[in-house]
Amino acid sequence: MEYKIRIDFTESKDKSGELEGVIYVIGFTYFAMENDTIVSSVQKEINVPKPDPNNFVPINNVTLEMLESWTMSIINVEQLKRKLEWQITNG
Amino acid sequence: MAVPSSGEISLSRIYKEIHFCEYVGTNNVGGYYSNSSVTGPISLSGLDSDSSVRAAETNKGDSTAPYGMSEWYEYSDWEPNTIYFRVEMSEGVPENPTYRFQITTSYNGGTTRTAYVYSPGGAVDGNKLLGPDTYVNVRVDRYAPDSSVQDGAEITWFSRVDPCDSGTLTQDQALTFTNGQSIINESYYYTNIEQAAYFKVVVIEG
Repeated sequence: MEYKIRIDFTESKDKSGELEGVIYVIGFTYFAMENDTIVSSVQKEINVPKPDPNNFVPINNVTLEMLESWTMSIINVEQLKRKLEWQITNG
Repeated sequence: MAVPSSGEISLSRIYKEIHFCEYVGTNNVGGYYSNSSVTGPISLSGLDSDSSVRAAETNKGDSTAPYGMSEWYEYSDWEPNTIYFRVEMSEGVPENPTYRFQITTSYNGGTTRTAYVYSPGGAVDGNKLLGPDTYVNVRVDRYAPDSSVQDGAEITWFSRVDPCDSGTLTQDQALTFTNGQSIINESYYYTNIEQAAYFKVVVIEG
């Protein structure tokens, strides 16, 4: 079984203090694949903590890899995997 | 279109507004029973307990006898001050590009909903609160693996004022791109939107 994340959307404030394009919500799908076929998935939204102004990337410079990395650092991956496995087992 | 504010109104059309978001329109005309969970005749008391009735709407039956048609004057099934959007993409190139669609409004000091649509195929539906300045910018970027079109592309922006009306969409802008051209910050800017609206962007690459 292979597990993957896919970013679906973000919500961002056009201006927040001195910063522009500040992401505050990320919506994503976490899914399990077998033989290149999605066998189970779950959709979630997470709130993104306020950014550090010294290490800030505005929305239009954010890559998918960044979004995936931020999301993976916030979510409970093991819990999501258990949920996917439960869905597979219980149909 | 919502239920009219006065005059003669139709029970079946109220049902149609509740379930298809259109009091008047072409969607499912004459087929009220065929593709819904309703198995019996439509009744005013039945409408009052219909779980599809929009909870926040105040122009609706009060669930108390005597049941009156007039209680449904001005019922509307769409959420006021909300933009609905749909982005679609089809492609025929091996690179399987990801496109980024950004819908920006002035709500809450300016917010942007960014949708990521992955090929092959793909479509994303969403909605967003509309701000008091009532502008919307709908932006498209070819996002990954890069901005360069592989085999030509076409982007078309559509809209209509009433998101619930199944009527024809207006084509607002169409842009074409040749092989190797970049798609970065291609947008269409809508102004003077007084009520909810529906936006649709279609990208065809390859």
